Amino acid sequence: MAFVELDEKGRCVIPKEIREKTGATKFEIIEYEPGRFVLVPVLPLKKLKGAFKTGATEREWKEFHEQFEKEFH
Amino acid sequence: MNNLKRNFIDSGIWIALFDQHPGADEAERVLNENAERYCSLLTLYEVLRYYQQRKPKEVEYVGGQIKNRSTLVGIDEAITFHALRLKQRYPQFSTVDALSLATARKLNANFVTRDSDFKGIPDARIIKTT
Repeated sequence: MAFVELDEKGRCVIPKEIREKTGATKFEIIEYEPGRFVLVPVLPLKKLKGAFKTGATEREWKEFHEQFEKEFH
Repeated sequence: MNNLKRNFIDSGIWIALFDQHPGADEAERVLNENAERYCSLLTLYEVLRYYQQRKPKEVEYVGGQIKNRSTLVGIDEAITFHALRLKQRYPQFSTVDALSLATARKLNANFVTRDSDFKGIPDARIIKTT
């Protein structure tokens, strides 16, 4: 998607397009498998509401939660 | 000494916000409060498991949001024994409930939840979902 270069102090610039697309000013770097990293945008709070909709209903969440609790009994 | 309020954020609060379930506005307000926020590793696991089953590609993203907005806390011996006492005293509690409340108590934090099993627990703050 894009290449970034590190300067002598190890800093890099996240391309403007990506910054604007995510709306994030902070990113988390996660090693999701050995040697491979992903840059995860940390969204501002105002953008979090409904940011990860699954389509599940409240009832489905409650069923999941109950099942999860049962697994620990 | 730091006198900032402390909130322990339960799984239902994160889900309300991220998945826009009932209580999403109140969840947003809670996360916007001037307070230290905590989340247990067990809570993180539950929320991520929920997403793993429904939107696996979002797991890292969701985890990143939680980790950025709260301090993650693990279960230690004191929490384990307190949870055992809670489980005995409140039969309606699941093991997860007991461990979560015990974690919040160890931190002197308000336990912020949507779970009605905590009704009547003095240090539990049940947010409105209507």
